[in-house]
Amino acid sequence: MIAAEALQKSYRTGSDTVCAVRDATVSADRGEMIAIVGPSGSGKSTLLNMIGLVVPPDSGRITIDGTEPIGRNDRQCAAFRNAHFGYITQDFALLNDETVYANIRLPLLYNKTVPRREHKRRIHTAAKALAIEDKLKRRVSVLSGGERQRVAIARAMVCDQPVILADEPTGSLDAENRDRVVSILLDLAHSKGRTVLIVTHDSSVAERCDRVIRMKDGVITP
Amino acid sequence: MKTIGRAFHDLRREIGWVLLYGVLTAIVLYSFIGSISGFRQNLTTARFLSGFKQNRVDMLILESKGSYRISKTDGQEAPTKAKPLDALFREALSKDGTLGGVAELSSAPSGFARTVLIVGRMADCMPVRVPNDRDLYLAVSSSHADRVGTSVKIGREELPIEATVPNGTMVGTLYNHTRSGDLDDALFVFAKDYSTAYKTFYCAPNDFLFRLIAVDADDAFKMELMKSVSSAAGMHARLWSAQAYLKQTGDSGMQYLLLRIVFFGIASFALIAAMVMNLLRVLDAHTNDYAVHRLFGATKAQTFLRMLLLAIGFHIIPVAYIACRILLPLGWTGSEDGGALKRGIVAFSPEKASMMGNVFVVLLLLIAAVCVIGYVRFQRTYAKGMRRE
Ligand SMILES: Nc1ncnc2c1ncn2[C@@H]1O[C@H](COP(=O)(O)OP(=O)(O)OP(=O)(O)O)[C@@H](O)[C@H]1O
Ligand SMILES: [Mg+2]
Repeated sequence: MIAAEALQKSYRTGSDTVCAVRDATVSADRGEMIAIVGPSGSGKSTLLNMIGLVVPPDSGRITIDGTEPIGRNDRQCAAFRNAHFGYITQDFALLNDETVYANIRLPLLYNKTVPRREHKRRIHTAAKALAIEDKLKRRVSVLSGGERQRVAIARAMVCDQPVILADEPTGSLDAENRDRVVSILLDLAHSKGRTVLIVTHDSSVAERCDRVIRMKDGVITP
Repeated sequence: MKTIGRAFHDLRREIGWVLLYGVLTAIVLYSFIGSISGFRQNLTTARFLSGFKQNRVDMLILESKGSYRISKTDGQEAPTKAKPLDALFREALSKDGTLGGVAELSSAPSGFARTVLIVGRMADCMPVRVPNDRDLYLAVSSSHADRVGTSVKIGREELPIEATVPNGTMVGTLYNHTRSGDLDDALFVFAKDYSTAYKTFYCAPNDFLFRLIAVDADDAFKMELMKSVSSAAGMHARLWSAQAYLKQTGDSGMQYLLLRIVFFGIASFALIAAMVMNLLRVLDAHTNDYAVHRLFGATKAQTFLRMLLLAIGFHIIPVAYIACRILLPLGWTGSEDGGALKRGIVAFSPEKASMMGNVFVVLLLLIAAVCVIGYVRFQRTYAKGMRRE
């Protein structure tokens, strides 16, 4: 599903250069949930952002579902992101002034393959799976952290995106909500065949994943 | 289409600012532009009039009988029979006489918005030297310089255009007339005397009454003139010396206008600074939304367009106001197939610095520039990816 080869990324800050990720090779299959762990500043987020086409790598190759998205024009890249990735972040990255419904619908607005008349059904299905169907009309700003993260997960699956990229999705949640989110993501991987990459600091989260990638100083360690 | 909808959506939150800011900008712009064009008009009028300041010029003013009745009861007016205006004009409205006059012909040759007829001594005050042997002489503003050498048919004659006058210098020609203003699109016809004008253009004496001057006239002639005009026009005629006129409109008027320009210039500057900062603040406030949209499929172009539309929507009141000011004058200058719009926007000349078109272009450029800055700032945040602390 995902094959990233020799990804490299460095940042220039003032006079010196920080090598955030060095020669990282990652592969993930369909239906797999993989944890990326490592100390702060080890390049976990940078790696995830490169795979998710948010941050362009300095060098290396990425193949997703048999296609190589890097090097395409911006319009094609945007369409590719829309069709393939569901992003989940620690701060939820929601449209705070909008309703739950509008937030979940966001990827559908940019999707050309799902017809408009299907939007409602899909949003309700996703909301139901995450137990937030009764909150669809509420603004996300009034929801609790756990609820917000479930809105973000619903959004990450509403277009049937095959890959879910989660950067510390449980970072601001309590233990109960954390376990719930991880269970949902595991279920998405195992029963829906999604590929889930999850960056985490939490060893109890990493333990539940199928596989763990460890990073240190920008390098993947065995 | 979707992007427009989204931008409109973004704008909902800012509606208070849009109103407050829009009205403020419109007022300041309106006053500033009004002051500048008033200043320019006064300047050209004053320059124009100073041409006959030395010649002891008197300008004829017509007032309604009503305002005159008070002095009539004083019994100052002798009821002697006035000389017919036609006879008076044939005698004195000429290059070698005492009178000068301006009339506007009812039709203009194609390419010109109006035809202005300048008769007798009036030509002395114009920035054109009419050759002595010429009965009729045609000139245009420098914006129509390409027409020099061609001929136009006016009245019963086909005449060559022979000279140009600098743009903007003829503004004062139609002093004391509601439709004065921009004469850069006019054809100027200089006629030696009233008889020539009458023969060629069938004009009537009354055509000159609103713009008539007497040069170096003695008191007896002035009396006779006022009497003739009063009885012909059915209104009270009075003469106002150019000196007095200049004193009023020229000196104090100019000082007042200058002060206004300085004041509104400062206000405009402050407003522009506020506009830039405010716009950046608004764009920054939407960074999260733009980034989330980008993550889930919006392109760079869509994001920038959305910013631009938000920025334009934010300034919709001043933008619409200026657009109206550009488009509306076309309505009454009629014949010129969008020419004013084209010249206003394309010709970015200091001479036309107060043209609405230029203000419009500057405003749009400013908005676009701020959007580019806003976009660069957004992109920098977005490129940090999902890592946002
Ligand atoms: N946009 C950027 N500009 C400059 N340096 C950056 C940028 N993004 C990341 N870095 C640097 O790259 C390195 C890796 O950062 P990254 O965010 O990938 O670490 P991380 O493993 O996700 O850390 P954390 O666990 O704290 O989130 C760090 O040293 C960081 O300072
Ligand atoms: Mg991180």
